[in-house]
Amino acid sequence: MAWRMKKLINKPENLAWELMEGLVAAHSDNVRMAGKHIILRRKPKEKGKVQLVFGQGSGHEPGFAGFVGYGMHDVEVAGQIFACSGPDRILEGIETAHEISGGGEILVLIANHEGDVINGGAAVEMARDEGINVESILLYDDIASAPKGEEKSRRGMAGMFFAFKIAGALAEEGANRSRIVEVTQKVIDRARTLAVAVRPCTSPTTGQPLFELADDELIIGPGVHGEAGPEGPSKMMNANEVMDEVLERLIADGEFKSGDEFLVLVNGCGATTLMEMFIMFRRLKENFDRRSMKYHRPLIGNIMTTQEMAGFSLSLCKADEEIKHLWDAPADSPYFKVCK
Amino acid sequence: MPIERVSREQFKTILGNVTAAVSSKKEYLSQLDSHIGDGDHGFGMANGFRIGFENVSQTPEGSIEHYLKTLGFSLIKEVGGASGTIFGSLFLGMAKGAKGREEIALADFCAMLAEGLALVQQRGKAQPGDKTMIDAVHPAVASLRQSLTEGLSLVEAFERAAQAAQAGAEQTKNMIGKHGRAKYFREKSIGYQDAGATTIAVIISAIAASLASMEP
Repeated sequence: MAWRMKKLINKPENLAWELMEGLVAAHSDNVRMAGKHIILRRKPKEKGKVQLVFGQGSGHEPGFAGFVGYGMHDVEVAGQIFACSGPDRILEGIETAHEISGGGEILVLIANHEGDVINGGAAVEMARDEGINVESILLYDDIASAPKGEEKSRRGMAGMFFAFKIAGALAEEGANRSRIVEVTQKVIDRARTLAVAVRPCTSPTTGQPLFELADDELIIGPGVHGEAGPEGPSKMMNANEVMDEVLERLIADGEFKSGDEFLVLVNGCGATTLMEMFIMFRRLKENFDRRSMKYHRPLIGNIMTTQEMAGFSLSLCKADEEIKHLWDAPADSPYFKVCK
Repeated sequence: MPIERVSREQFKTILGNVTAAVSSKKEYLSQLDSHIGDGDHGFGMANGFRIGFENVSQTPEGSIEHYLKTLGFSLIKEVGGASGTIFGSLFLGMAKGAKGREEIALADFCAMLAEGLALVQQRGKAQPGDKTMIDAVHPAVASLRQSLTEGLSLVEAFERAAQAAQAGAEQTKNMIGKHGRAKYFREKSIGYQDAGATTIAVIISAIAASLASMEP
């Protein structure tokens, strides 16, 4: 059967630009645009506080352009659909942060994907050549993408949200950059994500499905661009079975123990209902109770999506008092708020 | 008489033909990318070349070096991701090799493509055998060098280079992906041809066809 894309879009080459324009127009109290591809906080942080810059491909909304704001990151450089901006545009983002902060410290968050690493790395080098005070930190969490022991080769997935929230809260409190890097690295070291896809999505650029999957199959470990994982399809499971499987793998990989407490993110990939996510979260709680594990203010919803892919990812981050305190700190971005 | 060198205007025509060739193959290149990537390689490339060549066309003055730089920067800006920067770097490297040249002979093409390859490797850190576009560029450079020592004509040399690039692209089927999204498929990436290497084969074959059409 021929595949036919049904999406409410205009010209494919204008997707990224049009969606950012819409997002910023809808949340103009919170964010504004500088140039064509840079999204900034409407009310910037005070000078002297570390500016957080992020650049990644579009098409994952609300992540992460929807999280620019108070207690979160300061500058988002929006790329094309599923493709990070080139170094010149990321450099523009860094230069903008440099101006806002009056020459203060800047931290660039880089999701561990080839394009993001090459372009983000080049932009940081170029900015340093201009005398800008900038460092970067690599974000990775997907246990499907590289075996245990090769954590730094893992992809950045929805668990990156923990790093954004914690780094953002610290920067807001006025921590210096080396402290932010230290705590964010702790979060990365303690965070694990695993995704499951039950139905593929269509690339809005090409109109083609990103992978194929039979009606009675699901895929464990797909990437955020719908890349089928290294593992190949498994038989379809119900909510309890799939949550048991995913939790088992995350707990084993993270060497999590009974008594541990976690930040939990049940992330919808785009077409999965909150109904399904709550049913799965219920099973997570049963598992946690049985294992004497605890969760702290869990987050359930669409955070980092892959178009209309059906499925979810589960992210866990082993929490300590510092992480919990920063997770609870106030935030005010278009798609994530924590009340004071 | 076979042509020995191309002028600035002829070089611009070649870039136009390369742009048209990438555009005509965009579905095929994307389809290759769909197995071990995210399936939009050809579309991204076609869009980048289209805008890049528009930018080249809008600068009536300028040198071959300038055209290559314009195309390279356009690819980096418009395509994004790893592929935009890597393909952009290829043309920026070629621009270095074309510095000060009014006309381009086989020896210049050799030097340009070698500079392009060097910049790509510096930026992307990939080696031959890693299942990337380098697996097509590398044999093309070697083939051009060989043709230069054998004293072949420009057209003959590019016909051979196009074959070498095509063979290199096909060889990637036997390789395990070490970079980009193909990396996560590990040994499951075997059997699939790399889309970037195939784009290089398309580009070099378009250069060969352009040169052949310029023969009197």
